[in-house]
Amino acid sequence: MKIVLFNPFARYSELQLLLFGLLTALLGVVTASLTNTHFDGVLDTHFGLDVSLKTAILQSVINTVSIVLVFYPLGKWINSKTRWIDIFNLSLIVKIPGYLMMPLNMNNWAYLKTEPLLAAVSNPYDLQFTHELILFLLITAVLALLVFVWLIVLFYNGFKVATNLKGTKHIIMFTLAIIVSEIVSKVLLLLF
Amino acid sequence: MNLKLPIHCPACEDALKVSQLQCGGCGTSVNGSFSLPVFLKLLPEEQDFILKFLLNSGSLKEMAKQMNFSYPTIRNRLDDIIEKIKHLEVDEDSTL
Repeated sequence: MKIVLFNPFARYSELQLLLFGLLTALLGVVTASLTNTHFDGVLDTHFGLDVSLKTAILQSVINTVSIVLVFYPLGKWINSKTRWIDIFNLSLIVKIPGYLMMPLNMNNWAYLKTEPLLAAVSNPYDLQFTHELILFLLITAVLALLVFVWLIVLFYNGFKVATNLKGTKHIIMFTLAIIVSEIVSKVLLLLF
Repeated sequence: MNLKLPIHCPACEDALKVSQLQCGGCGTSVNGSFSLPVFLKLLPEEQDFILKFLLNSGSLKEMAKQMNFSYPTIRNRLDDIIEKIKHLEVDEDSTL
């Protein structure tokens, strides 16, 4: 079970990962559109009021492209035997943890809860912390942290299997690449 | 009972050498100081991996299917063993 959740790349063939990744990506964009969830960056998840299917597809494609654009050349530099299919599968599978956040915005629930918080940024004294709000913030924070940790573990394990990366230097490059891919995805989303 | 061939000294972890070989047929013993071949200096799992590699005619794809691992995992293992063998050969050359 541990391998399936945290390192499916070690166990399953590239075809199995590709099919599963494409299926979850398809379900992901449809659900993102239904729950008005923005995946507006490789690491980002935000809730909105109106996310069209076209927007959800565009964000999904841009995130995938951003990961492949950054991690494939890095993978080749670390290990010339790195295959593009392994990096592409990585880009699909690492999105899965983020999908767990989507149910929070069913009927725009999370967005409507967070809107007063954002409005109160200019005047924090206006903010009313109800029990419901505190519970919501706690659940969201814990879930977001778990999702983020799972995403990073999947990312690292997937890239490690694809490239056989070893040593501190490679790990630092990997960390920088995550940040770069996030920046690339933001830039591409702005352009498109 | 299949005994595991020790390759490192249990006292100081240094590489072991063969000092005596015995003939199973006539009992003749040969004494000397013989280095273990590089293959025998590998861990049993690594030796097993290399044998599987040969038996699968070098097909990593077939090995991945049989061992229930992905192709890149098997490829990485092979690369790690190759690196280890290279280091063992360098160590052997420096000892000579």
